[in-house]
Amino acid sequence: MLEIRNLHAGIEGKEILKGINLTVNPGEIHAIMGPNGSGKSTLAGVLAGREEFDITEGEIIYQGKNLLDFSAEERACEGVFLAFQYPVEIPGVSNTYFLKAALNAVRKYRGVDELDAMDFLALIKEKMKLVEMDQALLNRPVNEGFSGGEKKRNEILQMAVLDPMLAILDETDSGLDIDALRIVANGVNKLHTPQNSAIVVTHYQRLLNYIIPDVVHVLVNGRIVKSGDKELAFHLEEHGYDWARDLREPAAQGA
Amino acid sequence: MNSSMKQQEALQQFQTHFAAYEERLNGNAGSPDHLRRKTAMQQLADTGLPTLRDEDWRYTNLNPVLKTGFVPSTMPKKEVLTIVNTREFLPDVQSAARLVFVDGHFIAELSQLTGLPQGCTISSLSSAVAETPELISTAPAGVTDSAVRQFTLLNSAFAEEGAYIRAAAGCILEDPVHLLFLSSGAPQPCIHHPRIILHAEKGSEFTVIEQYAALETGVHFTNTVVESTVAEGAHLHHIKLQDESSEAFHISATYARVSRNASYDNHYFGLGSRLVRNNIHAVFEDEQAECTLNGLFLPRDSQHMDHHTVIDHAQPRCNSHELYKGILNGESRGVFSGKIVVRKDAQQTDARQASNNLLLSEDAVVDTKPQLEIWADDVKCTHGATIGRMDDEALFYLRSRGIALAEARNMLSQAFASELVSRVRNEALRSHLDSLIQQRLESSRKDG
Repeated sequence: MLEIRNLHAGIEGKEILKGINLTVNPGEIHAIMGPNGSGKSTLAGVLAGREEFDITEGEIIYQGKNLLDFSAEERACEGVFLAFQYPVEIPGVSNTYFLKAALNAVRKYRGVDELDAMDFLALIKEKMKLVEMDQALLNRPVNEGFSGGEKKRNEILQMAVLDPMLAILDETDSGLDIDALRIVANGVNKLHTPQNSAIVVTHYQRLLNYIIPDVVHVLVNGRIVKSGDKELAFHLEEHGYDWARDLREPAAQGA
Repeated sequence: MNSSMKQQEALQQFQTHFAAYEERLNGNAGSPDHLRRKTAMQQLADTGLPTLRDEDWRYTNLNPVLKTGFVPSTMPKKEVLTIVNTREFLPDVQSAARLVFVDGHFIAELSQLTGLPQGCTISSLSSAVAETPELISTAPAGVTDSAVRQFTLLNSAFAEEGAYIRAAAGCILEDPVHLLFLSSGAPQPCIHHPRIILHAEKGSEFTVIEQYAALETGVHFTNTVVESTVAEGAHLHHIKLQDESSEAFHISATYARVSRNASYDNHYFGLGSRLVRNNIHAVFEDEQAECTLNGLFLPRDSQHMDHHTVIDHAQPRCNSHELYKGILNGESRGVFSGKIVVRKDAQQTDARQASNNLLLSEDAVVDTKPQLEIWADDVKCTHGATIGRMDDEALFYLRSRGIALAEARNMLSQAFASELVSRVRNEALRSHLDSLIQQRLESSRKDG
């Protein structure tokens, strides 16, 4: 599905990712954990095609293709989806209009017929059940005035509609109460199949009680310093990130 | 040649035209109508035409207008009129009446004035003036603002045609009255001075759509004056849609006098012309009245669009709302200058003004100048201005969902414009405006 090789990336001359190596196979869920400023969101942004980051070294192979050759919109059409840590409010664009434009752009790219208004509405209604979202939010401008929980549910709704192969969830748990967290996680789990993969970026172990990862990676100072199974997340929860800071070099080499 | 010499020359040219016009009048030289014209011409000669040194004109250089030798417009040829399909300019909008003008001349055979409800008078200005000569004033009373005065005087000297709409007390017109001003693209640059008079009497209500469009490209100069009075408890909705040829010049002055419990709203949509200068001057003449000024302008290439508005809170307990938005492309230039005056006795005034601008290109420039002049102490006045480029984070958000960059930019511009379109009450007109804006944004995108 995804292979990241020796990825170095930064912004305005400052290196943030310092040699990331990561392989995600179809059907796997990977968690990336790390302290603030370790480069988690940068990694998510680089994968989704944020242009403010400079890639100075390395490559990203996604389904046999060089992901860095694609623009943000092409990546979305190729099946990469980023659930934003801070979903953007877009006044004047209704949620329905936005979702329909997105879905039809993706369908067109994939050579599938675009959906008309009726079929789209039927699809969206079904997908909304997945995230227990109020239909009134469909006619509202994208994310405008949505609560934190509504925004995150809207992200998962978009994910459900666009049906990605690789979903990247960037701190999706931040700002969520326990009920919203359960609903969002439940949505992600239902969308998970043996064919698609997810990368869950998080600071806390909490989300991983609901979305069970196959592999947990610890990211410190731009490098993956340790990888393991879900027990690693519990260890981090218990001992914090301090112990991981000392691991740096060897794990990065060995990953 | 320095700029004041250009004004002198242009003024002389107007005076020559006026002399020729007077000769045509023959025996009518002593009529009140003619005296008014003479007075206006004389006052214009005394003040002179504006230059960049006038504070109200510092952002708009009139030299391109003044150095074009305009001639008075002539009656369009019959074959021009046969090709006009008046329906296409506002498709699907049901209108109560339609007055069509080509190069400033009223074209009865293209107009539709039958089936009007009782109490409603809608006619061409010339036939209204024939009955009531004093309909046209030299300049609306109380307006001393130099920004608007000169071109109003010019209009008062030459105006022969336009529209007169009067709704008698209690008369309510559901469908809008459509005023369609077309330019034929005549080979010689011509000038016309439409005059529009709108009277909403006590408790009446109507909507006017004032539309400017081009049959062919060409240089011409439209110098419009609109005078509106809104009596007690009446509501006047005024929509102006300006889409003249990209070589045209357009200057207008719109006056509104609003009485007790009455409302006046003006919605402007600007697409056309090489140079546009719109002046709006609204005065509250009694308490608890309301005035709304909304404007959306979308210049591209080297278009110049300038909007000067004045809302005069001369009476207490009145509300005004003003929102102007510009979406600028190419090397275009936009100006918004909005003055709100709150007089000493105008307590409990509520005035809100905002000017928001979106620059789509590196070379577009916008100047925005809100001015509050407050003499009363118990008032609520807010104003704000923004000038910005497109929000990168919103663009990335749309793109990350598969929407192509060009489409994403288009969606965000359209969204920026939608706030003003949504304030128009007529649904068919809204959808027409949406498609015009969509076309403009798409064509700008291709050019840019």
